[in-house]
Amino acid sequence: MTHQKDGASRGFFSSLPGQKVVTEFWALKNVNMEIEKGKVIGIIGRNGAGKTTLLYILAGISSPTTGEVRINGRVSSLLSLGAGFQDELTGKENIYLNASILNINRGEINKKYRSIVEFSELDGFLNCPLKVYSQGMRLRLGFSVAIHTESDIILTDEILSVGDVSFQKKCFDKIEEFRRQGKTMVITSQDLDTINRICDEVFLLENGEIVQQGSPEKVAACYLELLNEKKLPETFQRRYGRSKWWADKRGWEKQEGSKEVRITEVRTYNSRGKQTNRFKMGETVRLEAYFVVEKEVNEPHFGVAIFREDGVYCYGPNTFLDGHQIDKLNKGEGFFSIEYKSLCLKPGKYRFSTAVWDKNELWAYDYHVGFYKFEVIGDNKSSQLLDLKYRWEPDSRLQKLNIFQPAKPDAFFNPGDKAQNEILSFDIEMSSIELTDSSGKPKNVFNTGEDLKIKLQFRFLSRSRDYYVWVGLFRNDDVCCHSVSKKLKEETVVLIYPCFPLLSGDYYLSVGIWKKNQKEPLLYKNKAYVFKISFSGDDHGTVYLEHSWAWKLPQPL
Amino acid sequence: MGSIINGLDMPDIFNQIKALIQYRHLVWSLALKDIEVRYRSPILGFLWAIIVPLITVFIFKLIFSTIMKVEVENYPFFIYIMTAIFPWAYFSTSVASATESIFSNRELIKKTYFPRQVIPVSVVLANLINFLPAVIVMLLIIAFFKMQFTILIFLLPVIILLQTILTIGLALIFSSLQVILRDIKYIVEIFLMAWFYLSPGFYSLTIVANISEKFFKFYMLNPFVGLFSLYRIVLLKRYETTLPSSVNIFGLTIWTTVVCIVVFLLGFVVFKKYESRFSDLV
Repeated sequence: MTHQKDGASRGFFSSLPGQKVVTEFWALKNVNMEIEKGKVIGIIGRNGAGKTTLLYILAGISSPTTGEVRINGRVSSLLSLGAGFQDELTGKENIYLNASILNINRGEINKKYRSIVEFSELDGFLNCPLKVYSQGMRLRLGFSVAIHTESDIILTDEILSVGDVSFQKKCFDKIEEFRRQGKTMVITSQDLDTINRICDEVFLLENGEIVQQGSPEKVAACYLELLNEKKLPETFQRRYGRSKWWADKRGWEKQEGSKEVRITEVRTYNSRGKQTNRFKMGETVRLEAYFVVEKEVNEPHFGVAIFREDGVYCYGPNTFLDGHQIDKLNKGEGFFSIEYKSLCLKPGKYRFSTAVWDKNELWAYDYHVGFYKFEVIGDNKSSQLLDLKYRWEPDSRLQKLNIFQPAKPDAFFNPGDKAQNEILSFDIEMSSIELTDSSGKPKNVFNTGEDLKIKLQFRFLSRSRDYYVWVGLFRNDDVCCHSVSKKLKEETVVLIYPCFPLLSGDYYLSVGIWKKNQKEPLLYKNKAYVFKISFSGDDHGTVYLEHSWAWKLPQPL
Repeated sequence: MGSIINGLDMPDIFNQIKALIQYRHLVWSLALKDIEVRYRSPILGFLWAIIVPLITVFIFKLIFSTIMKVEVENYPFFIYIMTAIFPWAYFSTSVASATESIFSNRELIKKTYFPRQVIPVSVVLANLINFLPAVIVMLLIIAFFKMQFTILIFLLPVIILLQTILTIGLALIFSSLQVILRDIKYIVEIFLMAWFYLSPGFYSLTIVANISEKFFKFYMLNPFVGLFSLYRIVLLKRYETTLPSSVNIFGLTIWTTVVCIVVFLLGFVVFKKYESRFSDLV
């Protein structure tokens, strides 16, 4: 189908004797589109942007004021289900009537009647007059008939935003089926998740004009930017924004959500089962969240996130990302819990967020943001985030006793400060730094969970031997994830992180050499090595913490 | 400018009619729905389609014949007016309901696509379906009055068809104008009433012919003069002999046919002109 159109206006005029007042409102301006056969096109935009008008013009219901539309193929518009339903007639009669309106001829209707009835799940009600049908039943009937039209082009307008969740799923599955059959579809929706999933190309309308077009990700991001200026709910932004790593602390200590499910209490336990919110580094921690279900929900998901006090997002798994399925929450009380095998966070103040999400992890029933404080006890003079397992090679048994930590090296240098990028020394030189996997192959893209081997090669230029080497691991937004140091005896040292648990992102290593008890480093190389971690999942946060979920759901009454 | 869908360039009468034929099942469905909704609830159901015009005939007979002593040659007054009132009922209810039909189907107009002319045409069709039992009753009553039929009776469907195309034309015109000017339905109401009195429904043509020749010529331009006369010609034996001598039956028939066809085509033209604004104004 190809079409071009210019504009559509709705003119409103009121005339009093001897007076004419004309106000013009252009619902669409300068809209030019070409749509290829078989493509799925999404049209997004704010309310009033012109999406529905555009769709109505495509459907032939409205005529453009200027411009033209050329369509090649049979069009079926699922724009409003159950158009023409007559309350006095029975379900069966309405199927026939509705089908006629959608231009399915008598013979076709007869053939498809069975299938229509089956899809609608309304068998047994068909001889009742339509006025006894509930809203949901009408929708199902309308949709059933509508999807049985044989057509090459399908137009839908927010079709997925009506009906209950199981009906929505049915609609969605059908749309997927149409997609696979190669039908051309034009969809408007406010559900960016769906748009992302099924559209090939997306147009963004604002004030009747196309302001952006292209891939779903690009246009969705543009749409969000547009919405940002007009105050978007924060939960929404959190899902799509660049906030996988940092939290917007303004949202902390707030409770958001539509409250069909309410989290009433959150308790945390340490590895000995004592309820506390002070933990030791690396111990097993369990969080239990108790909730009350006010209204039945289907396919919810639970999520718990950990943030450091300054906002760094440590880890935020949820049952959706972990591939769990929770079928239904009946009314009543229940709880869910997450147990972290080993909370390898460095001492400091942190917070938990807990949430119950809807099935698409997009809408929160109850989201307690940065609500629950906890502390990892201990001394932490550095700004390191994590307590990662590592070892040096060559290793010495005394290593563990002789950890020299230059007083906050990362505090001396602002890693972003280009002037401090490098400090050289006459006494020692770093000849190479190499990052390899466990087999020794140098790489700079790793998977979460792989072994990381950092090989540093130095050259001693003078006789001094009193060096300490320091390696800092940073994420490219300059969060210090980890740092280690060791007395440097040989020219070659290898640092190994077995099962490196950091999540997707760009990282870099910085290396420094200190002389004992000296404040300034002898040698410093910022961003000595840049590498990437890739994680197969969509998990949010900085580090992967091994965890397991458990829950107790309210029983049906 | 306009929508070009599936290669059909819509602004052409032939395409409008073609689209009607393409959507004929919808015309049929809407007409049936109309009828079923109208007659499903009340106790006597579709019998009302016959009872209402019959009562009208009785009332007219009472007033014009019994009380006012209007006379009509050769035929019982009752029969004479019945042959006009039944078809007129079909005509006037069609046009009156069609005028509001676009509005009353605003949900369909706003939400679905189909050729809009389907709506007024389906209204006419619904009334035609209503008319047919009345025709049968009319024939029965004529037989009951022991009046014989001639071979001309087989032309009855042709006359009905002629009337139907005139009705469709007017239905299209008024239904589309009503969307633009909301006052049209009142004008139509008055128009229909005046029109009935200007047609030889309850009086004979002879009376009019006696007024003046000039007036009679104008009077004869009314297509319903022709239609009523044609109905009576085919239904009543030798009606043609009772017509005033100045009436040329052949010429009358031609004229009536021409007017019906012209109004029919005009209907599509006017409808098409305003159709594009329906979904905005309705």
